[in-house]
Amino acid sequence: MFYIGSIVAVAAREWAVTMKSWRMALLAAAGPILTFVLFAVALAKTIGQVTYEGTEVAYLAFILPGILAMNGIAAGQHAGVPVYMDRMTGELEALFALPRPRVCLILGKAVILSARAVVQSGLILLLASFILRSQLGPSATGVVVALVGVMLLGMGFTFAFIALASVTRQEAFNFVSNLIYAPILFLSPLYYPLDRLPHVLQLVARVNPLTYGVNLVRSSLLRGGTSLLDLGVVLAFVSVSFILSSLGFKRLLK
Amino acid sequence: MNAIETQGLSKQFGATDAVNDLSIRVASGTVFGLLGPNGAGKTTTIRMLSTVLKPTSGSAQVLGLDVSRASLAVRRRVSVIPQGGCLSPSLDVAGNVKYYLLMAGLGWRSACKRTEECIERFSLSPHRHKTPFQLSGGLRRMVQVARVLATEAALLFVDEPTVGLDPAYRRDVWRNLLESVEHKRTVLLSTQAMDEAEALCSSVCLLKKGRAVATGEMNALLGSLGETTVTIETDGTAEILENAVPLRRMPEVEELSYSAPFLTLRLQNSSAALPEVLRVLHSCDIAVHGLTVRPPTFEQVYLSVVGEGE
Repeated sequence: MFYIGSIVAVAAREWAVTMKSWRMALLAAAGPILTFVLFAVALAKTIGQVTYEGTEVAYLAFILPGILAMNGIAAGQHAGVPVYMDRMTGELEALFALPRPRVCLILGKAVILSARAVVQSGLILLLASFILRSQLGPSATGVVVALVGVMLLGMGFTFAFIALASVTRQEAFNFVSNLIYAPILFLSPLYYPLDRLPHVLQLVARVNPLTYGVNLVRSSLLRGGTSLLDLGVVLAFVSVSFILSSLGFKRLLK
Repeated sequence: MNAIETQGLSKQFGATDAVNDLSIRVASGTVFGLLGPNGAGKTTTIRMLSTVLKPTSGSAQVLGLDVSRASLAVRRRVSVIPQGGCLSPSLDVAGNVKYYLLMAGLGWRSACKRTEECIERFSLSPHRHKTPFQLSGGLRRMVQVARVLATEAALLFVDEPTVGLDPAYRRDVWRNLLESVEHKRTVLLSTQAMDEAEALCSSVCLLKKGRAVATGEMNALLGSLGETTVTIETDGTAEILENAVPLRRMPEVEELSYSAPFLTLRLQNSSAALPEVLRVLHSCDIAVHGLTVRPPTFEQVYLSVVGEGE
């Protein structure tokens, strides 16, 4: 109960820090919606149809789960910089000296950032249901599983970026996060089916957690079901990155 | 009862001894000063005692709890004002107070109620919607002090609270810290400002390169380590310095100089030495027309113990 109370307290603070006002909240939601709309008018019309698991689907229906998964990784990216800000201003030391388990500082952050990714994804799904109509038609369970997938990706990448921020200087963090961002996105089935990639890159994509996250979201939205492998790998990614971020976070002031 | 008790407390960072074999006792309901130059180990000591850092060796009890074994219980009873401007840059003044209190263990309603009381008490109403970047350094520090005093902590760790503040804000911070002691709190204050230590502390520990070089009550340290300057107005004759040779032989006389008609002595342990000085002056036929005694300052004590170059 104490841990839950602590996570709620941290999450309340994170919510206030992240969403300074409703204007900020709307702006945060507008970004991914804009991405989706631009994909809809530009790429989707150019590409038309792609083959997904032996079936022809509209590219927009194919890319939609990818954009939802992108919300997850974007949530994680937002977790890194505040770690430096709090450390630089000394606020982190003040927080470390408060009676909340340090692990709750990370969990509270992850809860809020992944919740934001889920809300953004929900809004995009709502918009998509008008644009795609018959092409999408997911079941309610499929939507829920897809949003859970986005939440898990949000948590996993939040932990991963906190872990990175805990062991690097800010310049190095900016450099590394920019460096890995494109490979993580492009070496996954986010924009295109994996079989379009050269064999070697397909192998690299197999160790990319985003691959399984995108598969999880896509299969629940387009097929109404999910594979245990995808769910298992995403859960393993969340667990490992959580452990790494906890270890890194504890060392922050050493 | 002691609020803090450390025994051989040490912290190493690689090959560097940040704090080495520190043993101190801080009585409850007092302000205890940790003094020393930059890099002396003051902040590291506070971080260990507030459980932010784990000691490499030694032990520390805070309010009767072991900092290594009961860190969360310690944190429930203490609050820290770290160095610098530490407020969340993304929150306004009210948010910085409210979410700090929430994180300090208060419920939502209590945190909201105390935030309002705190803003009222510290006259922060005109600034409640400002972010830390919109505040002066003094106001930022006041918000930090205010939110920490709004907690229920029995022990406050305060790290260099008045660096860069103007005299009015310094006095405000001092007044609030002293008021918190009147409310049975204990304060561990780290500072480099000797006037601050003199104004607030009843006991101090002087640190140098991670080691305690002097510990005790302020008055006792002033008496044992401070030097009293005694200026004696003589009749101004040229032979005074020759006649005053017996004074130079006194072990309590640290320094003797003469600028007609004033003979100036720096004395250690002045209460015992001064009657003897007057007796020697009389026996040397040096007429005393006036006498000024300037008591030791803590800055002198600090410089004599820690060293001028530090």
